[in-house]
Amino acid sequence: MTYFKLFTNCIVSKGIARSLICDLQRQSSTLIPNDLVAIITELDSATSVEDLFRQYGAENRETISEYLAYLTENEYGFYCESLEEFNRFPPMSTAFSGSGKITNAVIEVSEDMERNLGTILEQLNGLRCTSLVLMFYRPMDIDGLQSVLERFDGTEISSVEIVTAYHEAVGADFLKNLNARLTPLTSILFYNAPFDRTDPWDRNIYFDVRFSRSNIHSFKHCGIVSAAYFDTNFPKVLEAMNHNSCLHKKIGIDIHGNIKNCPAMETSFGNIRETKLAEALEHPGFKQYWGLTKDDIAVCRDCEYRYICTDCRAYTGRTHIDTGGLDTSKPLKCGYDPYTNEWAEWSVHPLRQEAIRYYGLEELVRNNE
Amino acid sequence: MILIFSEVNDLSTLAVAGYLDDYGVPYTVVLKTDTLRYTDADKGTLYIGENKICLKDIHAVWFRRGKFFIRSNAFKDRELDLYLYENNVIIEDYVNYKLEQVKSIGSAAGLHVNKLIVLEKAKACGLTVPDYCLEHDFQQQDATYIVKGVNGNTHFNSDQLRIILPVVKLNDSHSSGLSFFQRYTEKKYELRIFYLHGRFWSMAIFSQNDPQTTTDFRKYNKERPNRNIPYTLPTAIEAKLTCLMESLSLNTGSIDMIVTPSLEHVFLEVNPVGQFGMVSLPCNYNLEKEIADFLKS
Amino acid sequence: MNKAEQIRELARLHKDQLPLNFQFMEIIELEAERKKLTYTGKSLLSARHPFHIQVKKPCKALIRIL
Ligand code: SF4
Repeated sequence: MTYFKLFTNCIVSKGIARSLICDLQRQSSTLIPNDLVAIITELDSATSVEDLFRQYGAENRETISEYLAYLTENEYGFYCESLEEFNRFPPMSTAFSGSGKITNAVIEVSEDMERNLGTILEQLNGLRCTSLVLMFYRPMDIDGLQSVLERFDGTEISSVEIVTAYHEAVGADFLKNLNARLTPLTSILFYNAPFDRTDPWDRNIYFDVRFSRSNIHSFKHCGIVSAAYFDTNFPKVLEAMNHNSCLHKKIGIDIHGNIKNCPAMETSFGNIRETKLAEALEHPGFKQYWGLTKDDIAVCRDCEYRYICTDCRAYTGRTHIDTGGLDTSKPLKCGYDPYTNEWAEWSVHPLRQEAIRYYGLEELVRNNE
Repeated sequence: MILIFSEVNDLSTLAVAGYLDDYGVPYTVVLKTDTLRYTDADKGTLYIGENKICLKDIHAVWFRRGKFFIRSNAFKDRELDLYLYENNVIIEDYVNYKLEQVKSIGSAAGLHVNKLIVLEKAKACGLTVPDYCLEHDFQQQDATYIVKGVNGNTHFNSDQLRIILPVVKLNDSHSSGLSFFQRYTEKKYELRIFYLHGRFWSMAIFSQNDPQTTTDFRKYNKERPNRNIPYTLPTAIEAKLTCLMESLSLNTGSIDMIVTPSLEHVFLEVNPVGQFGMVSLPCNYNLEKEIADFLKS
Repeated sequence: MNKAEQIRELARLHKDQLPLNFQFMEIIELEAERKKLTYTGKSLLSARHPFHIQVKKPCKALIRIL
């Protein structure tokens, strides 16, 4: 008897109309029909290939052969010679692990806060946050940026991304100066720029540089769901299977210094002027969304992209609330329909207009048109 | 207090330290570049640069990379240096011996193993090993043989050069200095196994599809990386490997095996300070946490 | 004769003392190798730990504004 095993680091994410193989090792995902999922499930439950052909009958023989050829050619699976061999390949654990009380932070840095950034960074470092985004809704000169980045000396923060307004002085020399010291800066986005361009990091400039014509004046711009943000990689997918893919181990500080799950969320757990980040973290509500996965969210639970997609709890369709009072509605800014497999512009959907008004996103939507 | 001997660039140590931080368990990392001293004060005190730790406060030791050693200031005189060295070795051995009295991962003595002794002991424990011999002259055989360095090193550096000693499949007769010849074993997949105090975490590496990697998977193919997935060893093989590890007095190590097309498990080698990250990450075993938990408890 | 040739010559002369795999050795210049392998990212030494912190972007986008 021959058995067929899907490589256990390829995870099938079953959608209502079609499915996805998330290849965690090769960091890519492929769409597959649900017929194939049925066959994979059958084979994975230790049905031999011979029995499978028998079950599906002569009329499906060719299709099944094609499917098996597809899986082997793309190295999604392999044949086992016996049940004994088949059973030696246990499923891979899908547990998510990793140390640190907080792993990522998003801070809207007001001018006032800029002066006290040191104490915030010290606290984040203590929680062993390793990645953060600093949003400056204003132009920053080279001295300003350098002095911000100097505050990271001696921390274990390994990635800093900066968003700031474009201004005349931003050019090759500006970036060279910014690169002169080794800092954890990994990307800088200049909005309100006269052009759109992305320069990935290289041997001369050790961080990505992006220019965008958009005018990022508030955090209302965040929460976009698009295929461009889909990402298949080990930690990302495992985190999405076990936790909220956006908010887990995240902390946000808004422009007023309010400590939140993300700057765009409504609930505040204190203000940095009087509350320590570690205290806010202990607030009973702080982690309420950390365990909410896409499997708990309306529509998303039927979507094949749910483990490679990143969630948004700040802007949702406001259609579903669970028994614990958590918002389990689909992200507002997603235009994908898993029932028809079609993408549409999210902002024009008639049922979303109320939510758009609720969040005060009308202006942003108009500007995008 | 947990004592960890390691190196500055070791990501696995960093990952384990992250969990120890989560647990709030104190630990000290000793690097090969640190200056170490020992005195009998307080029933044994270790000095690491400016820091001092009493041996009685240490409840676990991880010999990740390196061990207690005394950097001696050379007299530039052969006899004097030799005298000092011999003197220091006794102190080093003694301190390491004392460190090994608590719960430990790895050991000072077990940093190196003798491949030839390992193979003999593996056979004695009932493991299948490829036929091998130490010879000067190689006569062409019916079976394919490979020749490789007996110390397991595939390269070494000299000045600005790297000398690579590839594993070679032999087709004709050769004569040379004493060499290690091993019968080439066909494989369905390779196994990389991490062993820690009686437990096994195994990974199967499917490399046969790719001619680039048929003899050595470390020659990495970035375009289409080999498939690496979790594997469960048959209990009989686990028992034999445990026998081997115990006979080598190793409480940890990374073991290489081959599964042949006829599904036989063939033992190749054991590395007492093997990388477990390369098993842990692809299989999501989270061995970094297992190690932190072991050291903490 | 450069260093690599010297080594090859030595290996030839002492063929009967060196293991057979020396007859198949490859010699590469480390400088070239190092250039090829250099991680163009950066690593910073942590103040609290005696470790290098590898600077790299997180595995998921922290914000999605564009
Ligand atoms: S429905 Fe949209 S938001 Fe939900 S998982 Fe699918 S793509 Fe992501």
